[in-house]
Amino acid sequence: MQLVGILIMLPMLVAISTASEEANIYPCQKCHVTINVTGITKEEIVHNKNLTIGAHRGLYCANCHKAPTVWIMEGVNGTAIEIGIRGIHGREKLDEMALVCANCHYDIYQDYKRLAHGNSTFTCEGGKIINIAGYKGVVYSFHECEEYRNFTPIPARACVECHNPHDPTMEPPSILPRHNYIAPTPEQDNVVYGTLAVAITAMSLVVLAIVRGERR
Amino acid sequence: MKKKGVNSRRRELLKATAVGLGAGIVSFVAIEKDQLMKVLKPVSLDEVIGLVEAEEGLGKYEKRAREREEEIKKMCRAEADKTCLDKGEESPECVEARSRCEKIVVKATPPKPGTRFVMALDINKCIGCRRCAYACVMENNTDRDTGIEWIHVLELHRDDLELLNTNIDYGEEAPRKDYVYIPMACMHCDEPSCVYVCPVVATWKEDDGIVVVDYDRCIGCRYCITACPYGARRFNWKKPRVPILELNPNMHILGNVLRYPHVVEKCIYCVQRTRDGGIPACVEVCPVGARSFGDINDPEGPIRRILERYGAFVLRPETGNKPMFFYYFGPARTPPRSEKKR
Repeated sequence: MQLVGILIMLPMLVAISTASEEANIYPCQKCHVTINVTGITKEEIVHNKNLTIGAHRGLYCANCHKAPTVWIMEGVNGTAIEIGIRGIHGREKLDEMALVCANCHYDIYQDYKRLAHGNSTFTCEGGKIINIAGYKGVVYSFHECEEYRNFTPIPARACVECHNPHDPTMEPPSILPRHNYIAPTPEQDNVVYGTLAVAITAMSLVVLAIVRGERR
Repeated sequence: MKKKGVNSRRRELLKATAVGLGAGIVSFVAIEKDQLMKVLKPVSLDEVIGLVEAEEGLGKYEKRAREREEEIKKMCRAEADKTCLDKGEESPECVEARSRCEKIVVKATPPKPGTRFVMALDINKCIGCRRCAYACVMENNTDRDTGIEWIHVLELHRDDLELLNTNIDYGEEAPRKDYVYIPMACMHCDEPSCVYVCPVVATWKEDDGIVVVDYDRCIGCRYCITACPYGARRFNWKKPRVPILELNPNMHILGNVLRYPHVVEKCIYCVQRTRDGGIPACVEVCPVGARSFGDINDPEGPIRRILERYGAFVLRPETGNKPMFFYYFGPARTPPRSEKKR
């Protein structure tokens, strides 16, 4: 009986992993420990990039990778950022990787720091966030707090949680159902019949008025 | 002796009524003074002074918020009992409903001096997915039956930024190439025409820039709906129904507290979150991060950054409402669905 109850609750209260909806999970270890940068290629399939055309023209692999490994990346101001940390990594480690992105996209990194790029959320002391599948299928973040006071706004996700680092252009996620109560456009036939009905009513009223007037 | 034209029955009835009325008046006047004192309770001076002080002090709405909290908790508990009868005392719904009722807080947080809340929306990023509109419904305890949604997302051709040519009923094929999506809700104008037309001062602009509605004062005349050039206000035609398991316990007396029937409601920038330092639900839920929210007076905030870096425009400036909701074209564009790779 309890199992049935839980099953009913599932669509309502199951914490839906936002990661599965908006970002992919990359097994960094799989490639980054084995491959080395050779420096002879200008077109890389993994990155979906061609370094001879477009905005990336004239760049070298070593502009981002600390050659010869691909394990360590170039960050802002010459910092070396290790990517692909073993095990489950926390938000701090992922935020560190933002410095690699900032290498080229410094402007957007500034936006991100000031919560103007990417979406933000907030935390409260001793509170937690539960993602609920809510009204019309929206994944709504339900905040559970003690007092609902003194929130702190923070960036909701690190760069790599939304953008695939190998192919950072974001694809639009799914679209939700339409708005309610949108009046449908009337069919042309209905308009014609309606006009006719109004005209006939008006005519009959006129005739009635004349007949009654004569009777007096 | 019977006079002609006099209905004796009618006369008797009139006589009886007169006697009854007289007796009533006599008995009312004859009530002792003590009895009267029981009905008409004298007010002590201390009480009156205390009340005035409370109203002039910090929490002008504190008292009313606490009353409303009790009311809503009572209502919620009754609903929860019904659920528990239906599903059984042990069911997760019952447990969740009961705990949700106890968590209800109705706040009356006053505006923080020196703040001025503003929202900005990146039209290049918005994909028209309508997540903001539906998360808003969840956050603000909006009626689920009459389909009130505070945010409407409009589709518009990129060449022609004229609101008259928008399409609200676009299908599942968004984002389309060469189209932009404009989510529209209350603009929290500097010169709000809705406030000027309200005959009972039930809606006003707060010091932190949020235009609020006092649901206790609203008489439901709907002048404000007519006056708003953005169609941002909604009317409760019936008593709002919110499923108890979807109730948001974080409430504000001028914000998402459960509405009465026949009052006007609108976007309040999630006052229950933002006055305490949070961000609105629509900003939080946006999957592409098109929305940003902040204090325009904060030089380190997101809004300043956007206005200084990218500039912004407003909708329908010719109405003179001076809207405080900014749209801008950001640096990168979400690719349309048709251009999907692979």
